[in-house]
Amino acid sequence: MHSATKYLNGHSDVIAGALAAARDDALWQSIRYIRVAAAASSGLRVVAAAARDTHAAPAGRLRLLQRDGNRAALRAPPEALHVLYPGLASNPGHAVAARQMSGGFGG
Amino acid sequence: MPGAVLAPRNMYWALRKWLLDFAKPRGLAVEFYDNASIDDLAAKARAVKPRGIWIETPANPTWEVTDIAAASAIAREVGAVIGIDSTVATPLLTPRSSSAPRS
Repeated sequence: MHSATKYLNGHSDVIAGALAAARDDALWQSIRYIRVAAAASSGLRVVAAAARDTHAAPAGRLRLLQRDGNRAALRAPPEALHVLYPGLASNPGHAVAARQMSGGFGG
Repeated sequence: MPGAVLAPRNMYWALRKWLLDFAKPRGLAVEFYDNASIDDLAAKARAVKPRGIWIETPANPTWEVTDIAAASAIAREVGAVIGIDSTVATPLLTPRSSSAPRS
Protein backbone atom coordinates (compact mmCIF):
# COMPACT_ATOMS: atom_id res chain seq x y z
CA MET A 1 0.00 0.00 0.00
CA HIS A 2 1.38 3.34 -0.98
CA SER A 3 0.19 6.74 0.11
CA ALA A 4 0.06 9.27 -2.69
CA THR A 5 -0.89 11.87 -0.08
CA LYS A 6 2.58 12.08 1.36
CA TYR A 7 5.95 11.79 -0.38
CA LEU A 8 4.56 10.87 -3.79
CA ASN A 9 2.59 14.10 -3.83
CA GLY A 10 4.74 16.52 -1.89
CA HIS A 11 2.48 19.53 -2.42
CA SER A 12 -0.25 18.86 0.16
CA ASP A 13 -2.99 19.00 -2.45
CA VAL A 14 -3.71 15.31 -3.06
CA ILE A 15 -5.45 12.72 -0.93
CA ALA A 16 -4.97 9.41 -2.69
CA GLY A 17 -3.30 6.07 -2.43
CA ALA A 18 -2.50 2.91 -4.27
CA LEU A 19 -2.85 -0.73 -3.40
CA ALA A 20 -1.09 -3.47 -5.32
CA ALA A 21 -1.40 -7.22 -4.82
CA ALA A 22 1.01 -10.05 -5.50
CA ARG A 23 -1.71 -12.24 -6.99
CA ASP A 24 -4.92 -11.71 -8.92
CA ASP A 25 -7.02 -13.99 -6.73
CA ALA A 26 -10.46 -13.99 -5.10
CA LEU A 27 -9.32 -11.67 -2.30
CA TRP A 28 -7.97 -9.16 -4.78
CA GLN A 29 -11.17 -9.31 -6.81
CA SER A 30 -13.21 -8.68 -3.65
CA ILE A 31 -11.00 -5.67 -2.84
CA ARG A 32 -11.49 -4.38 -6.39
CA TYR A 33 -15.21 -4.90 -6.07
CA ILE A 34 -15.35 -2.89 -2.82
CA ARG A 35 -13.41 -0.07 -4.47
CA VAL A 36 -15.80 0.06 -7.41
CA ALA A 37 -19.02 -0.55 -5.47
CA ALA A 38 -18.13 2.01 -2.79
CA ALA A 39 -17.14 4.47 -5.53
CA ALA A 40 -13.73 4.99 -3.95
CA SER A 41 -12.40 6.65 -7.04
CA SER A 42 -10.25 9.75 -7.21
CA GLY A 43 -11.64 12.88 -8.77
CA LEU A 44 -10.15 14.38 -11.90
CA ARG A 45 -8.41 17.22 -10.07
CA VAL A 46 -6.70 14.77 -7.75
CA VAL A 47 -5.67 12.50 -10.60
CA ALA A 48 -4.26 15.45 -12.55
CA ALA A 49 -2.29 16.68 -9.53
CA ALA A 50 -1.00 13.19 -8.75
CA ALA A 51 0.06 12.71 -12.37
CA ARG A 52 1.88 16.05 -12.22
CA ASP A 53 3.77 14.94 -9.12
CA THR A 54 4.63 11.41 -10.12
CA HIS A 55 5.76 12.56 -13.56
CA ALA A 56 7.73 15.46 -12.11
CA ALA A 57 10.49 13.24 -10.79
CA PRO A 58 9.46 12.17 -7.30
CA ALA A 59 12.87 10.53 -7.21
CA GLY A 60 14.46 13.96 -7.13
CA ARG A 61 12.17 15.14 -4.36
CA LEU A 62 12.88 11.99 -2.38
CA ARG A 63 16.60 12.46 -2.85
CA LEU A 64 16.31 15.93 -1.33
CA LEU A 65 14.24 14.67 1.59
CA GLN A 66 16.71 11.91 2.08
CA ARG A 67 19.69 14.20 2.02
CA ASP A 68 17.98 16.32 4.65
CA GLY A 69 17.06 13.24 6.67
CA ASN A 70 20.62 11.99 6.60
CA ARG A 71 22.01 15.40 7.51
CA ALA A 72 19.56 15.85 10.35
CA ALA A 73 20.36 12.40 11.71
CA LEU A 74 24.10 12.88 11.47
CA ARG A 75 24.04 16.37 12.91
CA ALA A 76 21.73 15.71 15.82
CA PRO A 77 22.57 18.14 18.64
CA PRO A 78 24.04 16.73 21.85
CA GLU A 79 20.73 17.49 23.59
CA ALA A 80 19.03 14.87 21.39
CA LEU A 81 18.28 11.85 23.53
CA HIS A 82 17.70 9.50 20.62
CA VAL A 83 17.85 9.64 16.83
CA LEU A 84 15.35 7.36 15.08
CA TYR A 85 16.70 6.86 11.57
CA PRO A 86 17.44 3.52 9.88
CA GLY A 87 20.12 5.19 7.77
CA LEU A 88 22.36 5.34 10.82
CA ALA A 89 24.61 2.30 11.19
CA SER A 90 23.80 2.29 14.91
CA ASN A 91 20.05 1.94 14.27
CA PRO A 92 18.72 -1.56 15.07
CA GLY A 93 16.88 -1.66 11.73
CA HIS A 94 19.88 -0.60 9.66
CA ALA A 95 20.96 -4.01 8.32
CA VAL A 96 17.46 -5.01 7.18
CA ALA A 97 16.80 -1.56 5.73
CA ALA A 98 20.08 -1.62 3.82
CA ARG A 99 19.13 -4.98 2.32
CA GLN A 100 15.51 -4.37 1.38
CA MET A 101 15.51 -0.67 0.55
CA SER A 102 17.20 0.66 -2.52
CA GLY A 103 18.63 4.09 -2.98
CA GLY A 104 18.20 5.34 0.56
CA PHE A 105 16.38 5.18 3.84
CA GLY A 106 13.63 7.75 3.42
CA GLY A 107 13.27 11.34 4.50
CA MET B 1 -16.46 -14.29 11.17
CA PRO B 2 -13.98 -11.45 10.92
CA GLY B 3 -11.17 -13.37 12.67
CA ALA B 4 -8.02 -11.72 13.90
CA VAL B 5 -5.48 -9.31 12.55
CA LEU B 6 -1.94 -8.72 13.74
CA ALA B 7 -0.65 -5.18 13.54
CA PRO B 8 2.50 -3.36 14.65
CA ARG B 9 2.57 -1.66 18.04
CA ASN B 10 4.02 1.47 16.48
CA MET B 11 2.12 2.31 13.34
CA TYR B 12 0.32 5.07 11.47
CA TRP B 13 -2.07 6.39 14.13
CA ALA B 14 -5.13 6.64 11.91
CA LEU B 15 -5.13 2.96 10.99
CA ARG B 16 -4.38 1.97 14.59
CA LYS B 17 -7.36 4.08 15.68
CA TRP B 18 -9.54 2.54 12.97
CA LEU B 19 -8.59 -0.96 14.06
CA LEU B 20 -9.29 -0.24 17.73
CA ASP B 21 -12.28 2.10 17.52
CA PHE B 22 -14.04 0.86 14.40
CA ALA B 23 -13.04 -2.69 13.52
CA LYS B 24 -12.65 -4.15 17.01
CA PRO B 25 -16.15 -3.18 18.21
CA ARG B 26 -17.46 -4.85 15.05
CA GLY B 27 -15.87 -8.18 15.89
CA LEU B 28 -12.34 -8.09 14.52
CA ALA B 29 -9.79 -9.37 17.01
CA VAL B 30 -6.79 -7.05 16.99
CA GLU B 31 -3.41 -8.02 18.37
CA PHE B 32 -0.24 -5.97 18.29
CA TYR B 33 3.35 -7.11 17.92
CA ASP B 34 6.58 -5.36 18.76
CA ASN B 35 7.73 -4.11 15.39
CA ALA B 36 11.33 -3.90 16.53
CA SER B 37 11.30 -7.71 16.80
CA ILE B 38 10.64 -10.18 13.99
CA ASP B 39 10.69 -12.92 16.66
CA ASP B 40 7.77 -11.28 18.43
CA LEU B 41 5.89 -11.09 15.13
CA ALA B 42 6.53 -14.82 14.58
CA ALA B 43 5.48 -15.76 18.11
CA LYS B 44 2.28 -13.70 18.00
CA ALA B 45 1.43 -15.03 14.53
CA ARG B 46 1.77 -18.64 15.67
CA ALA B 47 -0.26 -17.96 18.82
CA VAL B 48 -3.03 -15.83 17.30
CA LYS B 49 -3.28 -17.48 13.85
CA PRO B 50 -4.47 -14.21 12.31
CA ARG B 51 -6.16 -13.99 8.94
CA GLY B 52 -4.19 -10.87 8.22
CA ILE B 53 -0.77 -9.53 9.16
CA TRP B 54 -0.10 -5.84 8.68
CA ILE B 55 3.40 -4.45 8.60
CA GLU B 56 4.62 -0.92 8.09
CA THR B 57 8.25 -0.34 7.17
CA PRO B 58 9.73 2.04 8.08
CA ALA B 59 6.96 2.58 10.62
CA ASN B 60 5.57 6.05 11.18
CA PRO B 61 6.49 7.74 13.49
CA THR B 62 9.38 5.79 15.02
CA TRP B 63 10.92 4.34 11.85
CA GLU B 64 11.25 0.73 12.99
CA VAL B 65 12.22 -1.44 10.03
CA THR B 66 10.51 -4.78 9.40
CA ASP B 67 12.05 -7.50 7.25
CA ILE B 68 9.46 -7.92 4.46
CA ALA B 69 10.74 -11.30 3.27
CA ALA B 70 10.86 -12.71 6.80
CA ALA B 71 7.39 -11.36 7.65
CA SER B 72 6.03 -12.79 4.37
CA ALA B 73 7.45 -16.21 5.26
CA ILE B 74 5.73 -16.04 8.65
CA ALA B 75 2.45 -15.07 6.97
CA ARG B 76 2.72 -18.02 4.59
CA GLU B 77 3.49 -20.34 7.49
CA VAL B 78 0.35 -19.37 9.42
CA GLY B 79 -1.84 -18.95 6.32
CA ALA B 80 -2.36 -15.21 6.67
CA VAL B 81 -2.61 -12.50 4.07
CA ILE B 82 0.10 -9.90 4.51
CA GLY B 83 -0.29 -6.21 3.82
CA ILE B 84 2.54 -3.68 3.78
CA ASP B 85 2.22 0.03 4.39
CA SER B 86 5.07 1.50 2.38
CA THR B 87 4.14 5.15 2.82
CA VAL B 88 7.50 6.17 4.23
CA ALA B 89 9.60 4.19 1.77
CA THR B 90 7.46 4.76 -1.35
CA PRO B 91 7.79 2.30 -4.27
CA LEU B 92 11.02 4.07 -5.18
CA LEU B 93 12.91 3.06 -2.05
CA THR B 94 11.38 -0.37 -1.50
CA PRO B 95 10.91 -2.06 -4.86
CA ARG B 96 8.63 -5.07 -5.06
CA SER B 97 11.63 -7.36 -5.49
CA SER B 98 12.44 -6.66 -1.83
CA SER B 99 9.53 -8.83 -0.81
CA ALA B 100 10.70 -11.86 -2.76
CA PRO B 101 11.66 -14.73 -0.49
CA ARG B 102 15.39 -15.10 0.01
CA SER B 103 16.91 -18.51 -0.51
